[in-house]
Amino acid sequence: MKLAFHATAIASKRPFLKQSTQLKFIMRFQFFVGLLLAMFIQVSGSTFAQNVSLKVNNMPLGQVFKLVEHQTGYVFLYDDVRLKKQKVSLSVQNAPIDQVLETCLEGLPVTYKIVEQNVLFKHDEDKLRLQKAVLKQQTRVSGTVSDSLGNPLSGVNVAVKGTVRGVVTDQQGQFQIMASPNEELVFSLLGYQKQEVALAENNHLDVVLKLALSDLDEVVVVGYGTQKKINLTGAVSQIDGKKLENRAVTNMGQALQGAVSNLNITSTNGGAPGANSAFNVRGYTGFSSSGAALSQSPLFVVDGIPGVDINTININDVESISVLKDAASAAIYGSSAPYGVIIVTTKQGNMGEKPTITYNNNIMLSQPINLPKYMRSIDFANLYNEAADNAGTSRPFSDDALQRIQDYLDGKMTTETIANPAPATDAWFEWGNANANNDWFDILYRDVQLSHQHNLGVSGGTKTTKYYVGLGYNKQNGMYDYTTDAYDRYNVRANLSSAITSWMSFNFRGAFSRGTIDSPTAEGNWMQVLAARNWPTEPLYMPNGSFAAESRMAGFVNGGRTKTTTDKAVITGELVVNPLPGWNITANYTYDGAYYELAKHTKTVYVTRPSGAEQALYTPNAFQRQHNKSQHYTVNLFSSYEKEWNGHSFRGLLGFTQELYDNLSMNGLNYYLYSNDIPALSLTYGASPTLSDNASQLAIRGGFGRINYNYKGKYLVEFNGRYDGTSRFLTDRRFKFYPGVSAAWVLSNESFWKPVEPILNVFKFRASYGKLGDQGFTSSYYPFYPSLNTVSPTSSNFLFGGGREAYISQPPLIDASLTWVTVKTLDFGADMAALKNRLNISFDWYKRTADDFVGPAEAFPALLGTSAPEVNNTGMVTKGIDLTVGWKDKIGQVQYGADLVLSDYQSKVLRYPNPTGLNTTWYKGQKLGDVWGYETVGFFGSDEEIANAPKQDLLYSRWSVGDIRYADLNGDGVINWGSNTVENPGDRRVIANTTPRYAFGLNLNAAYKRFDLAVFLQGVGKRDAIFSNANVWDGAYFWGITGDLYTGMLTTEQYDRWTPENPNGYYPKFYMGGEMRKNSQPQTRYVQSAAYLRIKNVQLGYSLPENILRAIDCQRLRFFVNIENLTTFTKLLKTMDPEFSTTDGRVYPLQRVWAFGVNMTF
Amino acid sequence: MKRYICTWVSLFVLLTSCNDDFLERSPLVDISDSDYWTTVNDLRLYVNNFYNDDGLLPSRRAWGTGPYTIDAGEGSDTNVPTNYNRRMNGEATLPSSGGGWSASDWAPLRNINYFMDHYPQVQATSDEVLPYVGEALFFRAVFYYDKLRKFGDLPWASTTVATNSNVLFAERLPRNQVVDSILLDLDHAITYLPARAGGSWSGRITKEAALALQARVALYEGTWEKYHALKNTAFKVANADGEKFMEKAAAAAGELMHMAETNGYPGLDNVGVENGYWLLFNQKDYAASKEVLFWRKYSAADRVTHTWTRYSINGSGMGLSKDMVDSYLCIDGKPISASSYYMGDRTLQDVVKNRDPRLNQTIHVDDNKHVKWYATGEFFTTPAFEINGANNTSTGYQIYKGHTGDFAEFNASQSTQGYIHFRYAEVLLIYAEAKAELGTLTQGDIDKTINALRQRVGMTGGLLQLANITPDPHWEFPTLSPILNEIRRERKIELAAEWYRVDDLFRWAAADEQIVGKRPLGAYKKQWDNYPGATPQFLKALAALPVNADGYIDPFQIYSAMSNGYQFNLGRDYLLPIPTNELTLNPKLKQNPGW
Repeated sequence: MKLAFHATAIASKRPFLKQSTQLKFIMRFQFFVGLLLAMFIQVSGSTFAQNVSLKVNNMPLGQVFKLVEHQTGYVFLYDDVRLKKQKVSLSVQNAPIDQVLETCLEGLPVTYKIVEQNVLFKHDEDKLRLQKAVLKQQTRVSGTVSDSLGNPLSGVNVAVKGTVRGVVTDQQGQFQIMASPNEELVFSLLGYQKQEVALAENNHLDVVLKLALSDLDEVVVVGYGTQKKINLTGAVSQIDGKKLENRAVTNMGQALQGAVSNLNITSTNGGAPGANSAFNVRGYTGFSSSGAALSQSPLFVVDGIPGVDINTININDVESISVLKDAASAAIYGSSAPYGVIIVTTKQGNMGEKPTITYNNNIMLSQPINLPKYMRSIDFANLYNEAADNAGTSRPFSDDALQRIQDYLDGKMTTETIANPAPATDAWFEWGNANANNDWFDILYRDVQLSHQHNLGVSGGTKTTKYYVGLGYNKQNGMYDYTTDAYDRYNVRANLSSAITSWMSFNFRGAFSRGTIDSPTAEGNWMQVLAARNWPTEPLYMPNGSFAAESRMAGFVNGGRTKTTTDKAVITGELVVNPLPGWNITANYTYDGAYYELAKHTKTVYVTRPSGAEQALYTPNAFQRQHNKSQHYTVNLFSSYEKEWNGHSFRGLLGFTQELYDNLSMNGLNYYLYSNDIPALSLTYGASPTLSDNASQLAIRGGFGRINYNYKGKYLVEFNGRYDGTSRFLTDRRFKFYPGVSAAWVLSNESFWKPVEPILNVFKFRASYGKLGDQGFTSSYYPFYPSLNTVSPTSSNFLFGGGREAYISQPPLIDASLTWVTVKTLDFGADMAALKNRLNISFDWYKRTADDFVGPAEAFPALLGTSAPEVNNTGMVTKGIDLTVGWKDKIGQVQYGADLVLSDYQSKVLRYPNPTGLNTTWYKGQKLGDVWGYETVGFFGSDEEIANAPKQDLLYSRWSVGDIRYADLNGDGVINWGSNTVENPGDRRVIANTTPRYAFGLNLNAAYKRFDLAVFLQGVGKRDAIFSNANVWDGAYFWGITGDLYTGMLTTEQYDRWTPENPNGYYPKFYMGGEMRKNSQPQTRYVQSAAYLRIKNVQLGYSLPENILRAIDCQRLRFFVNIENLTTFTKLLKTMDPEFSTTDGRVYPLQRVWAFGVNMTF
Repeated sequence: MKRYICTWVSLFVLLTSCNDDFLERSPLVDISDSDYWTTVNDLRLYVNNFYNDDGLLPSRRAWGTGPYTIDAGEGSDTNVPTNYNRRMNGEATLPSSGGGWSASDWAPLRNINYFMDHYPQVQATSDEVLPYVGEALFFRAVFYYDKLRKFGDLPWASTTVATNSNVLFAERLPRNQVVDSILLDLDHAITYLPARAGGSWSGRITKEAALALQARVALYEGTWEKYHALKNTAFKVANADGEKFMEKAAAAAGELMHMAETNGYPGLDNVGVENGYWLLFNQKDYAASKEVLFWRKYSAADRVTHTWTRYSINGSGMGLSKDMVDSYLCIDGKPISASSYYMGDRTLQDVVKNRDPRLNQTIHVDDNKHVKWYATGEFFTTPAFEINGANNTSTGYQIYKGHTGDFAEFNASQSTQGYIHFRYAEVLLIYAEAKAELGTLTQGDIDKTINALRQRVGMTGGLLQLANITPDPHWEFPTLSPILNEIRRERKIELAAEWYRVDDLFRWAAADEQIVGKRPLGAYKKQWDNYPGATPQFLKALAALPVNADGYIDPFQIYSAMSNGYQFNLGRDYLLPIPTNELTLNPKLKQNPGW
């Protein structure tokens, strides 16, 4: 008997271990529960894990047993000599002893049992009978496996598909295996392509394995189809859903951040529970009507259905994500996809596959990061007084208050404030009269919070059906202290596919998600702001234990809850017909509904005055209920045909699509609740309830097509096109055609490439050009319609004799010639694989032009009295690069890999209606992100210097030592802004650019034996940040003192300021008043670098060995520990997070998350 | 074969099931001009928006925005804030945009003109339509008067400005032509608007309110043109004809006075009522008032409330100046410099003794009569110096006018005290001033105006006699006639802290006399040393107050920028600058003098 086995062959044949399925289930369940309870017990399999490495040829069993005894310390007890003489061949690496024993005993009427360290053998004819029954239909198949050069390959895993039977090839590349004629063999070896061979009647097979696939051999999902990456002619990136699993994040955006080059993702609400992500592909294009640069969202397509929200998709249901970046690839989506497409494909089962159950969880401990640190109360008070003195305004802190603040710090005083001693003022001292020492960020946010996620997936199939069912639960608790805020999400997804006949199949895909956010109503969205304007001296509690009224904590904690529920259901029915080989017709219909409900309860709360009298806050109490129903119906009908002949390969696609968006909403609000605690509109008695509704519809219809042609995989060309219409425009300008063309040349398939091929295995050059429409530049579904503005009586604030009355006012200016924006993209790219496909590089250069973008019309004189109408009159060009580099290899037993994505873009204004060249709005040639400002010379050091310096009177009439001295760039002896034009900017110039440059993500991973480690770094290579002083809220986190007493916040950063004792401080002299602006003008001194490197994620996993897995009948069991946002390297001021630096920092803080979890597959 | 039949049938069904209207989607919750402008009610709903427009009738709901704080906020010589005013000290800066001249600042005009362009579409009788046209014209006048005071010359647009309208790129019209247009709008409004007399309060603009506005605007321009020419400032008007405007002012005011005589409306309220002057300014409802011609109502039940009276208990961060207090005549109608009734100013009680009763009703005095809160039965004792932040009184002459004893007014966003926009007393003062400027003032006119106001507060022994005016060495305008000085004094007293003072100083070109080099003073400080019942906090705050050599509180002494008094730039600061970007956008706009 000559047998070859591979260590990974999995079998469970020990008769005495044949428990009933039920028992296994119980064991599995107990094990599972145990895992949940004790997440990280050090599991050691010492008694089982005595592994064996052996390579013997035709050796008697007796000798084999001795070798095993020697390696493991087990003692073999047997009395049957026949057994001892039985000859075997086997080659195992690090295999469990059970497996070695079963291999040895295969085909013998002998079973074994391990008792302590002893292995006992028993004669068992039943076993043989059973095996023979199986073997009856099986024949012995043998063969050799070699590489493409004819060298034999050893160690190739040869398995019978769909079973657990398998062997490995020997040194000569030979194998023998028992298999039935109707079965298939699967050959696999690391570094080579997997190959499946149907046996038919053959009992000898010679197999040639091709070198491992490079990344270029992946199949990539594209619009309305798939394509092998090597055959792609456009710029498309794809990421495997597996790479996103197990991250301690709640939505797809967080998981995808930094994963795909030039897919730029930012959070819309910082680290708040349930915060969604904003997506952008390849940078800015165009301006909004208010003149802000637009970072438009790409189109999301989920399982072929456009317009589906991906923020609520369960990451664990995702098979892959493709990003179509260039216009030629996206042209098939026409006007829906001017700024790229993100295609999400969810998991499916396989026909004929036994059910597989996976369970993943994540237990997360979050701690807020980058919280500003409040200045100590006494320092705060003194600095406020100092700033008031500088500005010549009254001091906010009296000597009496200062004394109490000091006494409180010294412990001489224990209460945070005192009652106002003035007669008949039944009130506590607050703000500047109080004496607390509070760090409001510390109070607002807790130190650590627990959240968790659970996901269960079941997939499998029968002969004619396949299914995947995913269930997910996600509980994210927010960071608020004293109260709670939480996001809960439930996901269900079912993907079913059934072959009705050999030429027709029916697919059903259904997904439902429910997300709820529960947060405090009063100040709920405001606390980040309030924390940044409270004073450390403001008490949290009054001496009588009541919350301080002005701290707003009473409302925060007891002022009612706001609950939102968002239900999303996407249901698709699909019929696929194959009339002829190569010809497919697909028809599907999708209902995509989103239901949003808001219930906002504002409770009146009471704080207690010194006399014991109650003071009511948040009066009157109120309740608001809002329902939104957004329904989206999609019909797709498309047909594809493909044919190959003599090296020519042709694919064609023709289709039709139509979409209808139908939105309805209703909102009711009323004041005066009968009971403070029972929120319902029916239980309010306010005389003037607010009631409003909204309804809108958008219809889109288009026909699309695509032709691919390639010759011998060398020359590839693709034409895309879509003829698209929308209800957004009037009939005569409703339809437009969007073409795209792309081509590629695979140089490495040319004969002249042969000499280079061993090093540069694959090389492909691509070029594409396409036009896309943008109809989403306006959020209005009816931009052609000049609506009068109506206001209901309850929103009016003028009381006539008969009370409030409704009113109506003029419509905005509308331009009747408004039409689509056309966005053109030119893209050149190259893909290559080198060094035995271990290195994969993909590079793209692109230029995206929107030359007729819709923007605010010309800046008209203010007398116009309204915003100018939107017309197609602006242009922007964005140029950039995408780079993806991947490396994977193995050193000894360590497999490792690194994937780098890097992107960069810059946008420039091509056209803007600004004939005078004002630099306070956009102008032709301006780079996006440019900031105009002054050059700082330094601080004025003496009155003499002020007298002799260029006059700064235009900025402010008074200047003194410690104020900023600006540079007189134009040498006219006066600091001014000229005429605020590019030609005459006075002493201002472009001092900074806030566009994030060189955004990168680096994923490092390694696996050693059963351990795996992944580290994910993400960041931005270059970016300026400058903090506005335009209004009092902006820049509070940076400047500390904005000039307004009640809208600033002093952190420890502001210690470093100019004072006579500290003439080299960072900040200038502070002024408590509008005068502050003279020193906080945009200027070179206060340009900060917001470049950063963040260790976004570190994950360490350990998978249990198979012998344990078999005991609990589990295929995979992996434990992992996972850290999100481990640390950040940046030069940015500590009060702000570099991810959010373009704003003023007032956001819900990000969190560092320590997570523990398990992946199980049965 | 079956598969092909299925395929083609389904293709056919799908392709033909789409109907052609699929891409026709009309707005579902919008209305446009073509569906509007049909009934008179449509006009009413449209003009309602002017009442709600902050650019026309500022809603004045926030702290520090109420009528009794505006003078202080603008930095007058009579009402003094806790911090000196930057514009008055020449510290204003030139903006590149905004500055009261942005698209949103001009939006109310567009809104009104849009109405003017569309109202003729409504088919109804002129009786039904014209009152609303009158309201629109009234508000256009309000709009332009506000811009006139800020910027002087203005572009005039009487129809909706389009992006290609000539006016958009034209020069500004000289201010006198702008005022001609304002007055013409008001002439029409006066004709179209219904009179209030005999009717109940509707909350809407009345003929009387339009007349009052016309008188106000005309006097403003008339005196501006006269005095800026007289003082030869950079703001004088070419071909000025101040008399024309003053005649218009007198005519409009005279018409109201005629209506008062014939209809009994308008009229003065609280004549002979004890504390009647004070009571006039702290009411929640002026529906029955004859004197208040146009006001704004607030209501807690409708949640239309304000906060501007929140700190009136503490002085609202301001106080009357010594100069202001000294202007009040004694009960005999003589100035303090000449009257034997004058008791000096060592204490508040002395200050108000034997004086024009309006003084006692305008400032707080420790006499167990100046109520703090009715609910606690508590009365004023000492000025609220010790209140920190910017809410305390600045001078010790803590303002009582406008304060109410109703504690609910103190609750943030719960105040509902009414906001007076026009009152008849102003009309009387306009009439007297215009006639005096024209030189046609008679004793009869004085009796109907100045003396009516004095009689209302019981100052019957101190009536003004044209032929017998007591000379006052401290007349503010010694170069002007005694009667003009006395009329200006009366205006200062009657309208104390009612946001007229800064406008008055500017139209009289009087910043050189009343602002430049001046530092407003407060009360005599020593009176509160060892004051009975004073809290330690009060005494500590008092001790910190700076005083001048004569012992009067000198609140701005501590500011080095104020060491030589206000540095108002006479060649520049009477008008605001036009933002520089606007000059670039319309090169025909010329900057105001001095900027």
